[in-house]
Amino acid sequence: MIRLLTANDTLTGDVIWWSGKGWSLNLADAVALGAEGDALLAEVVAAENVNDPNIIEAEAGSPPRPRTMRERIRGFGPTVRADLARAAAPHPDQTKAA
Amino acid sequence: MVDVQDSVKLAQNPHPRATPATAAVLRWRDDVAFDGPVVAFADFGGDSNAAAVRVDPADDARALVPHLARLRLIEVSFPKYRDGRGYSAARILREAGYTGELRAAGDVLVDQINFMRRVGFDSFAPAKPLNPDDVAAALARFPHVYQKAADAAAPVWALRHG
Amino acid sequence: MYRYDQYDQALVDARVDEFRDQVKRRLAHEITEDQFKPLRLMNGLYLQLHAYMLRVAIPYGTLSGTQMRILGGIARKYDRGYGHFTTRQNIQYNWIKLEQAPDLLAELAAVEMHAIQTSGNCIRNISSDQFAGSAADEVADPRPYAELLRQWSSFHPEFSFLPRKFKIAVTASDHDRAAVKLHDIGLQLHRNAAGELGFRVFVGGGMGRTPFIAPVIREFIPVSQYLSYCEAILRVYNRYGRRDNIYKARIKILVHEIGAEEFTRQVEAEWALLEPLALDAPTAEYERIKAQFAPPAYDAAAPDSIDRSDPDFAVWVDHNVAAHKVPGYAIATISLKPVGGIPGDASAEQMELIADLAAKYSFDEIRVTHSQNLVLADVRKDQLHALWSALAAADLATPNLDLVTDIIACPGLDYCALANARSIPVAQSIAVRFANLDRQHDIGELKIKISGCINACGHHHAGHIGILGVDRKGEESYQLSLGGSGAEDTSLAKILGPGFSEEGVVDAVEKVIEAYRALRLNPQERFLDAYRRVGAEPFKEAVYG
Ligand code: HEM
Ligand code: SF4
Repeated sequence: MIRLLTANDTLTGDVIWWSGKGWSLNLADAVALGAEGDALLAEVVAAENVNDPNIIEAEAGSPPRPRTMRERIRGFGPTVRADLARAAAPHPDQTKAA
Repeated sequence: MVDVQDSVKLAQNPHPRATPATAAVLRWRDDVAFDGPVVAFADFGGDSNAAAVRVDPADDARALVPHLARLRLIEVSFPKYRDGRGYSAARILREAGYTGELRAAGDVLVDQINFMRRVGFDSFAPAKPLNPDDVAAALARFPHVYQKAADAAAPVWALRHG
Repeated sequence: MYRYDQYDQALVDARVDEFRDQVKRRLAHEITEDQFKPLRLMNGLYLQLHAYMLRVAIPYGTLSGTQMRILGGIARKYDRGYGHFTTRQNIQYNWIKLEQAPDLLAELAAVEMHAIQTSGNCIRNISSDQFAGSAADEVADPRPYAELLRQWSSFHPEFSFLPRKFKIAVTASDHDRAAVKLHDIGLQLHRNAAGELGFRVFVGGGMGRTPFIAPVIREFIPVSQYLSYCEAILRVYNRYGRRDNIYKARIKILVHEIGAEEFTRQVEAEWALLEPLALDAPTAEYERIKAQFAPPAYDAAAPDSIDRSDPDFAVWVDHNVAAHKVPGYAIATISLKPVGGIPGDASAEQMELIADLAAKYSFDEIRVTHSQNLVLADVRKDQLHALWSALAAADLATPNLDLVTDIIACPGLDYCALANARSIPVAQSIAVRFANLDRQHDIGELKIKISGCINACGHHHAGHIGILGVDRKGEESYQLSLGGSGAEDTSLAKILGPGFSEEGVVDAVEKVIEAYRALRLNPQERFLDAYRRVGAEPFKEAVYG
């Protein structure tokens, strides 16, 4: 498991990922955090430039696969609307009915 | 933020002075601000001379009604702006005929000040000073009101059928 | 329907300006997110999983074709081409940008709509019977009273920071289509022995984590005094509702903890002090509002029969068309529950089409139902076929009202930041499993309601079959409950047993339904009645046995 830093953009509400240099809209750009992760999160929380910053767990890969359904849905989009999928990769949890 | 030392001091001194009427206090009154001791609500019953009392959210403001004539200042505390009990306290006091100074103290924010004026507050001691221009803008924002409260504003139904 | 006058318009416009200012201050970092959050919530703007979500009020579920057209336009311009109609008769957009929200609200204000108090610990949108004004069984149109409540509760200075959210519903018939007993205040219009109009007052119902059916605290409050009476209820709640625990902060907990009798005593004591203050709007104001809900110009010559020669149309008429109080007219429900679709979702194009159809066939008026469907309440019987054809072409004519595929589902984990599990895929799987119309019609009335977490936005407590999504060690899991009702025979569903996976819950629902078919006395005995007659055991046996 790797750890990723994620938040929502205050202006747009978009899900964003910490890419090492800044925030990215694409889960594939998310970098695995090392020991500095918690300090980075504390900094981001204090700065209040983004909403609901959080560190989540994921399996490494391109794009990484977040551990929980909730974070996969944030990363890839609603499972019930294939047309609104977010990242380039296909949604790992897309429903059949959709 | 009140640190531990402050709370010890407050506890030792049951009669803190009224929040001083410095520039930080906003007042909509012409009379001279009262600056004598403000009694905690719990002590008020035993102190027949007190002219000022502090009402915390859990205190029953209605218990003050028999004593309104001798009160010059009632300070209603807002430890957190989200705790709306002070709004009812204010309106209850005004409905009972209280005409003295009614002060909202504590976490008083500009976005709530219009509501606070409407329920009868006529002075404010915000923990963080407010920008007077923002206050003026907030108070001028809504041209009408939909319901009666403790202020003089006529609800739109009165304007419609006036 | 109600039209704004200069006062209403000025207030809603001022609110847009205020919010534009607040957004500007937030974006300039003059206020913190902690300070801004309650301000945006008071304007219906939540942060959800993917973006901001905006909830727009549709007061008592009535809107005009013009308003619906704008809602469609907003979906296209500010969102991703669709919106979600909710159990509280609102519409939610899922992909809103904070920076665009003020412009969006300005577009709404231009058609007399707003998002004021659609969130936050204040009095929320007033809900009502979707058939109000057209129902054959109502004592009077409840909407003028609901509008008075809307105005009274808007920007209420004393009640904008309540312990928790506050929901009021108003109905006017014994047939409860608004779940009044599951609201913080439910008001039922009726006549007393003297023939005067007044409200029966229910207080302290609700769903969420601890569901309660509201007790009656007053049998009759004259219509001239119900606003001040509500004021008294709210004041007691504002002062004594619990603020120490968010899960115990609703009025239902206060009423439950001190007892309905003591609560009533406190309200009556408060009202005795408030009543002399002349807080109620005068009768003239009621009359002014009522005049705007005057019945439309019905054609007395409209033929009172329906040509049923088209069999598909006849099926739709049997299921989605209800009796109207005026001969020659009917009430048509537009299903937002196509099999495999997302319950309550409508695309921009569908909204625009419905707006056109309302203009053409139903005096330019539309209703939103708490079961997430739409209603055209005043359709000529001889135009029903034309309406149906237009709806069918847009996948809006599924003849499944109150049937097993007419499922209520909250947004669940696909959108909602509070969710434990997805709701929509479960609804879709059940609908697909029971897609066969003959089978649905054979099963008869069956209300399945699905929530993605304990907050119960999908009314699972009130489902004949309720499904609740829970988190089991990081996996989605679903709990099945049976026997709830949100109608006049309100009851709370009871958990049947251990939970299931998504597939498992669909199988379990099927087993429950097959057990019902086997044990019902006759095809007319509804699932709910059969359950009440035999209890949970046979169903437990069928599912877990
Ligand atoms: C997606 C964003 C939503 C959020 C964050 C949200 C949040 C909540 C919460 C926290 C509660 C529990 C309140 C309590 O018990 O104190 C609740 C209840 C409720 N919500 Fe939602 N909700 C959302 C969407 C919806 C939708 C889409 C509907 C309609 C389909 C809805 C209708 C209701 C209803 C009817 C209740 C339960 C009735 C009650 O106890 O008042 N909500 N919601
Ligand atoms: S029930 Fe839970 S998951 Fe569903 S919308 Fe409400 S808060 Fe979200």
